Amino acid sequence: MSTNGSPLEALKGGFRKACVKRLVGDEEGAVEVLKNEIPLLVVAWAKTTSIDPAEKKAKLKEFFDDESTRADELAVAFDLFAGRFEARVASRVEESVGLVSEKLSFLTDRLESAINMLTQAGSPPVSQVLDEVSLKSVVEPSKSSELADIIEDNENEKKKDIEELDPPRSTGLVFDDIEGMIDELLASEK
Amino acid sequence: MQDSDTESKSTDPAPKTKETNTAVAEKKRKLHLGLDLGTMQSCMVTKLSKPGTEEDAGTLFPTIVGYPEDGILSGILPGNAKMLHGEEAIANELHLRLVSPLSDGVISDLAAAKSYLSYLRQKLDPEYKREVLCVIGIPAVADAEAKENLKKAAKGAFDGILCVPEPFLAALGMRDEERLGDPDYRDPVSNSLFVDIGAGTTDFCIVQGYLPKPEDLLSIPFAGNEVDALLAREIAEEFPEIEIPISMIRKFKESYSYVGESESGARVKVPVGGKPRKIEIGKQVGNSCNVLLSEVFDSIKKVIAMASPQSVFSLLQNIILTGGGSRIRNIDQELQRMLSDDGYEDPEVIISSKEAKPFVAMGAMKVAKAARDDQWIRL
Repeated sequence: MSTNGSPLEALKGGFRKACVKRLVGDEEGAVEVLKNEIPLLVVAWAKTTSIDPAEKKAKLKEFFDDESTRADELAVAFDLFAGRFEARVASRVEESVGLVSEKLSFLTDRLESAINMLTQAGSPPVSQVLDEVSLKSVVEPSKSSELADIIEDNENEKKKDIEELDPPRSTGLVFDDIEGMIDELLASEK
Repeated sequence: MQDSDTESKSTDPAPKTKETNTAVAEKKRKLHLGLDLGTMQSCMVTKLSKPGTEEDAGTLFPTIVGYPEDGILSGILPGNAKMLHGEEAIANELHLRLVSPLSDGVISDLAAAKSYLSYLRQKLDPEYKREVLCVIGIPAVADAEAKENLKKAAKGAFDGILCVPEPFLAALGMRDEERLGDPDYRDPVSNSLFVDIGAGTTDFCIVQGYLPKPEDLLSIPFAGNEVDALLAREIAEEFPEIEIPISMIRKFKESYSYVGESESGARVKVPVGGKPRKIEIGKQVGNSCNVLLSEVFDSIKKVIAMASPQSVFSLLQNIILTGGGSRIRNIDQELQRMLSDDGYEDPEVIISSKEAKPFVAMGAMKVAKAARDDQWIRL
């Protein structure tokens, strides 16, 4: 297909951009696109088409409605997916984060008790103690690799969970996407 | 398939060549056309209007080409034409050999089809000033050969074409996009079974919001023409002394067709030895139409069996009849009753429109309007 750079595609792309900005909450950005970019794209498209003004107006409304509908559908699909993802993955992520949190609490406790002991003895400066503690405990190779293992396990667990989610159900081509249907029809004939 | 190509060469109404068309196509204004190329009748739509309004009737043309009988005197045919089409051909049928370009919904005489499509083009754009891009409805299960023949026939008549299954176009044409937000509006394309009863074929199509796949389509070569033939046979058996032309039989069917229990009251005037005589054909009309009903019922059952278990119950409540055959009186009620009696749960059969609406041509026009420039098959 060679219409990527066509005024029509540019116009659709522009409006799609505005819809996406609005969806992600960037109202200002959406208004910016609608105010500054779309009018120019409409003019560019209008110059390339020979249909009469009333049809142009109808066609424009159709483009905008289509793109708006697509954006809304995308938002609904995203919400659905996000909801399912959260429900399936959140508990496991929470569990993993809890483990990491426990380890960090353990290390912090050890650090605090070391500082207390040194403070009571009244010797070397705190900065030196901190360095020693960090060398002995925080950056202790075995502990460090243990932490890395935990993080890696968590990542793997997340990946596994994502793979285990039901694959998104194909919605096929919606009737509003006649262009897409023609593509499919032509492909089926080859 | 017949091919009287040599005969048509000098008489084809399309004087322009492909080269001429394509060379200047860039400079021409585009003209989109939705065409329902039917076995008996074709319909052209060039403008989309709101469904349900008077403007969406399209322009109808009988799908017929007439070649002058040998030895015909000069001045008999209008303009001494070497070929006539549509209404003109029918009006002069006494002096013509009439040829149907299509049979069972697909091209059966390439030369006649080529000439006929050029005639349609001339009706639309006599001076060939526009770049005509035409979406043509084809039977649900038209094979590659049928599509290839259509392309050959359209060459010289149109600048670009797209061939799209007719039931899908009917669904698209019936859809009222402006009412999609109306909670009371049942979108005909969301989950429906379309049954398009034409002249050459009856097409079945499951429409579930996307382009139907081959497994969603079924086409049977049993439709209006077969009813005509059956009615002719029934009348001939009852009244062997009367010879009635098929065109008259067709008119009787169009006036009195019904399905269900046998009825009387269809008294028609026929010529017997040059004198008028009235005969009662109610029973014969009913018998012929009931055969079509039975064929459609059997096929609907096959298509329902093809539908997915998740969608089948709601699909049953949205069986939509369209095409000329949908105007047979009681056909919706009878089909619904038969399905119900056969054990299907709450089937609902409706007719797409009480008036004859060119849904296929309207759907074709919608596709034509939406098609990108690079999607047209250039001829």
